Amino acid sequence: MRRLENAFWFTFAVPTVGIVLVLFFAPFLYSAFGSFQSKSGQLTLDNYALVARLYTKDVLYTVGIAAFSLAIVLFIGILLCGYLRVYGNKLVEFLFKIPLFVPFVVVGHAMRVFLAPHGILNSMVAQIGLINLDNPPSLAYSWLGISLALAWKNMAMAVLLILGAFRSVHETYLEAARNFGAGAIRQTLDVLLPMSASSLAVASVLMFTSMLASFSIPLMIGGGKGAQMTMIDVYYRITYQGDYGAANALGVVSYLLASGAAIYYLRTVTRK
Amino acid sequence: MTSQRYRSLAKGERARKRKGTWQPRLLRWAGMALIYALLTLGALTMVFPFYWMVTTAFKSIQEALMFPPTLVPTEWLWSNFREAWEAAPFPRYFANTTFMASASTLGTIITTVLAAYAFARMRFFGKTVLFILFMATMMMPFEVILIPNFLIIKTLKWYNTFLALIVPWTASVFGIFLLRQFYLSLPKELFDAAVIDGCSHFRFLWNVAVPLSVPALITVGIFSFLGSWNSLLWPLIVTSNPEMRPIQVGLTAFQSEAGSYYNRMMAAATLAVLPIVAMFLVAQKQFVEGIARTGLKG
Repeated sequence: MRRLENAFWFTFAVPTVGIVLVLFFAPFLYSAFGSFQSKSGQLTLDNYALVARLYTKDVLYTVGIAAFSLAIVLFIGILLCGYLRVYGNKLVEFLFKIPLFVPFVVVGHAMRVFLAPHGILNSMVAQIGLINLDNPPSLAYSWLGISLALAWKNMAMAVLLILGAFRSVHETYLEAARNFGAGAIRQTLDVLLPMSASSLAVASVLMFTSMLASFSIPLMIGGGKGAQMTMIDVYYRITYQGDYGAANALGVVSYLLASGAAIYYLRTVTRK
Repeated sequence: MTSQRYRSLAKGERARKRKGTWQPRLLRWAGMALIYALLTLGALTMVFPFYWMVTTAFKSIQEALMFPPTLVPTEWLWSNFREAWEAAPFPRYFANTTFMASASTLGTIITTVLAAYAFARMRFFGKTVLFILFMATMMMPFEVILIPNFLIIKTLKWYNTFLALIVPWTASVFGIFLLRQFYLSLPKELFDAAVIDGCSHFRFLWNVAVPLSVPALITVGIFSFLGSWNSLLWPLIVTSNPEMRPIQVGLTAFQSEAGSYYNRMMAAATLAVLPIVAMFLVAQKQFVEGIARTGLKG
């Protein structure tokens, strides 16, 4: 009877399974298979050879930017969420969630205005005499600009996930730490952080993979010269060269990078 | 004599206390000042794109394109909103987006509840493998599956239909993961007690698990609604008919149709953002509680 009921319930889960398999997994397999095909349809490793020859630098650049942005997000996110968990400040909490609502188109334009050579940031720094606006440095169109924009866009998600993890730590642990004289930073680093380590690892993997796959921000903030993020390469490969094989190979490489970061995550998730 | 001695001792004690506390107090104030300065700087940075969007919406086109940009509009042009509204079929875009986001959110909640419960409480063949496959799709860059997905939509003859805009977003692996974690955290005794009372899986889900998971469901719902409301690339690819397009695609079309009129574009973007900000403010408490209760634990 129970087995019958389980089978009945499995049928209820079938629509979800179907959608995921048909619209996520099957296309991925199609892409993966396409990465081993030449334009004439023959099986080949040429696409991967091309990726290794032309895009190794871009792959490293992408991983570097995603890792650097993640480090910024985690550093700020952990300290901020520790403060919010210990003292609470609803206004600050809300302000840090604003990036959730802002459309990518707006983020791209706003970041360009903020980081451009004669943008708001340089204008403010020039006011205190640190730079000369006749020959201003530019954060936009550079790896640092992309990293800062990605960190900005992901900060809201980080605050949600980290604060959620910190809030699931029971108040009694913090009270005990306070009784021993621990301040906000000690409570964050010695109590909240170790007790939320697995949640933070999962959140980090999610943000890292989303940064690896980011497209709109690198397209609007990144310069057209030098190394590019891999999703931009995929876009150019398809749009300007119609080379689906190499584009698919780049996609598979991106997926493998994301999966490499996610091994810990999958292992922890499936342990239960 | 004795009282004089006590008075002098007390005076000395007070002086020692004063001497002993002013330094830590000053340090504490300095620390708090630093924290507030950093928080203000961080908050300003977070608010900037939103502030820039709203203020640009009021600027003239000359002022909007000025470098270095002005932080406050010299003239507040409310007419930009009317012009933006009339320059493109925004009422239609709004209606499309509301329908698309609502339908996909409803679909997501239904499929998420069923699948998450199945993964958390059911025992069936290949459950772990299937769950790993599900989780693996979360790591999949969307651009990788974009072209094959488009071909599937064409094959199903869903191009330029709401089905193409809604169905692919009615399953959220992240939502399933969040809710599964919540269902796993429910005590087994609760389920056993319900079974002893003659409760079926469906009754348990409907009468116990779903009411307990309302904050988590609101979290999943808001994520789904936000994702749908802000989606740009997918609707751009699966629709060509302006009658079918959602608001984010409308914003880019506005840019290309009316040239680089950033002020009107930002006016339209401000209008587009208002409903989701309002929705978030209403559901914020439940949303945060939902994340905290699932804890996103591995």
